[in-house]
Amino acid sequence: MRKKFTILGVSLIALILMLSSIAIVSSGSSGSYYSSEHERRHPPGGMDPGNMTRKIGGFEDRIGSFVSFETIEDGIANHSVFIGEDEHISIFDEISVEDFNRYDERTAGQTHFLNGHGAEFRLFDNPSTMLKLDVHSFEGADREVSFRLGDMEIEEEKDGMVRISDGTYSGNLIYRDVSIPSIPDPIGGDAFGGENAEFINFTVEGRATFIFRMETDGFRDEIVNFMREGMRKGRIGGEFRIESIDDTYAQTSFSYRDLSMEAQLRDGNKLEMLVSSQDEEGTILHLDISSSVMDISSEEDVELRFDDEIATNLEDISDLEVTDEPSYTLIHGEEGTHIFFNVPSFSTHSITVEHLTEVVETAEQFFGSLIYYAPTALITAGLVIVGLLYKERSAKSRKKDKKDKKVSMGESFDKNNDGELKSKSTEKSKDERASRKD
Amino acid sequence: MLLEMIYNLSFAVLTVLALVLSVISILAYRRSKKKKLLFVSIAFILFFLKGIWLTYALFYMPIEGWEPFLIPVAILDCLILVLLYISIVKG
Amino acid sequence: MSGPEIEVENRKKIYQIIEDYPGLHMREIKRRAEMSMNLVRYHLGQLKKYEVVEEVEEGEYKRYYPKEGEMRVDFEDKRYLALLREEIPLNVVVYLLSRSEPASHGEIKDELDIAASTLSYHLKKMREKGLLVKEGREYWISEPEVVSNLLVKYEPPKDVIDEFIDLWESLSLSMIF
Repeated sequence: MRKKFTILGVSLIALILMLSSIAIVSSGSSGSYYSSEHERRHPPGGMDPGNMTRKIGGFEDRIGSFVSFETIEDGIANHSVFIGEDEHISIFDEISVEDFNRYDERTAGQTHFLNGHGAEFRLFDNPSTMLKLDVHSFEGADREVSFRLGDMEIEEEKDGMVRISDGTYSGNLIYRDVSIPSIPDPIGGDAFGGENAEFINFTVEGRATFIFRMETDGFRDEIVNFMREGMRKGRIGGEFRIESIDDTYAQTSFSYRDLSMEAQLRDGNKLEMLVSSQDEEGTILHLDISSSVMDISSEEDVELRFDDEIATNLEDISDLEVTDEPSYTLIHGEEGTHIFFNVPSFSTHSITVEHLTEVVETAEQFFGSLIYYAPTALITAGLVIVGLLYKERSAKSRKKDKKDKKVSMGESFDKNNDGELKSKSTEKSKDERASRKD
Repeated sequence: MLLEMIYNLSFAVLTVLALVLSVISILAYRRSKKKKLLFVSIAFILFFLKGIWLTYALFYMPIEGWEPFLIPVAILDCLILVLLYISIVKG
Repeated sequence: MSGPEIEVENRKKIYQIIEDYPGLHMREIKRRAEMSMNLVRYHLGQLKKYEVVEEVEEGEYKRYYPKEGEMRVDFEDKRYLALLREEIPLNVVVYLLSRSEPASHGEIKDELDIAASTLSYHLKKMREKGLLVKEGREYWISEPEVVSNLLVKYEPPKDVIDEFIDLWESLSLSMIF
């Protein structure tokens, strides 16, 4: 019996060891998932990008997913941006244009237009919280344009740009073709309508363009500067943004000069864009592609073409200039990819951004799982052995019981009979056996 | 997930039990020397081989291409049952 | 089961009755065994002869008792047991036990109705194991009482393997038809 169990036990252990080694070897060679992490820089205490990407902008009654505002006689008021659950910061308490006299207002997707007398507001509902204001004066008369700040304060002034911030969030107000603004100092904290109120006033002679943009991309300073300077100096001609949620795509384009941008997304990975301008001069375009549209993780993933010719990728953003060669720089933003593209000249050109889908080797999946298999095998083996041992033990005890029963029965009967007989016969048989053996 | 668990548990039990029964039937054949039990032994050995094959498929064959690996299983099952049938019919 | 096996089974049955109810007389044994008187008498005779049971006269009755003694299975006995599991050796032993004297090769051959060469082979094996002894040209059991006792009393515990054998034996078409 012992021998049998040894055979069983050994073979079971051998089996389990063999199977375990198969499993271990196989798991090591399973296909690797395609994965890559690319660094995302977070703006210091910046807006929740996750929140941003899940929404697509669009105004409804002047309230959008990111931006909200009100209208007043001379412009807009309470221009705020949402930064979290029911939390918002006010960027501009008021933006007023002298003699605005609003006559038309409409919403087109992410853009809200406010048309007034010789002036147009464009408000964009997206994380960049873009705002554009075009003003032109009449018959040589000057017009006053005033920006009254909300929760933010002036941080920096430069020719063509004022940077405002509340410590956490920052934005740039860029102005072109207008004289240096006059920024009155608050006197005793009570000047011009309230504590900490700050104004940025402009006097427009002729035409002027004002662009406000929040810094939410989490970019390095270098890039922030590039964008700022680009917008300020007019090097960046326009910005195009595309994002999606579920199957809806939303595009917004802002032009800082005479520029029109139209795009189509094909097959979910090819952005075909047409840019045109009456102005022949080349410019740099800022393409903001949300990761919800294309999840670009490295420069090798994209292929950019300019009029069907491959454009040059420049490693360093500082190398990007308006040159004869169509080139670009690719930068990862907080929730998407930013491409700065140099368009050498105009009339109409096509720019294609193609996300090369990798032949992802989907990890081969196996049903095999050692966590389930091995313990089950061991438990089954254990139960089987226990069962067999139990059987052997119960068989032995049954036999023992039987023997005991025999003895006890025999004794009770012997008491009635001649006890002598029993011992005699036992001895006799023993002797006989002994003699026989000899 | 559940499917994975079911396959793993059942193949583990199957293989172990088949091995145990193979050993018992081989010992029984050796003791009784009856041809019947030779067939039974071979049947259980095949059953055990089936278990090995299924375990191999479990860990080595990707889910997408699983169907072909059931062919030997089907063949083995037939052989096993034929052998058991013979063992019963043989007096 | 072959003839000798049946014979052994019957003998075992009778012995069991005696063991369970020592002191019965023949008629009572017969009743319990549900066998013919002749058969009972024959087996009792064999059991008595090889001192497996004891016959005690009490008045007009003869009562039967099992021979006491520890049923220890010696090493030698085990060798016998292995042999006795095989059909031909068993047949030989049962035949020889039924006789009162040794038998020749030819006599055994006629009784068992097997080939001479086969018989020689088995007889040789049995001699080597010490189960049989040869006196001249005739064969006899070396320890008839021991062998008888073994045949009748010894019940190896049915282990898993035996049960497996029984299972598959029972799994035959003869069960149905």
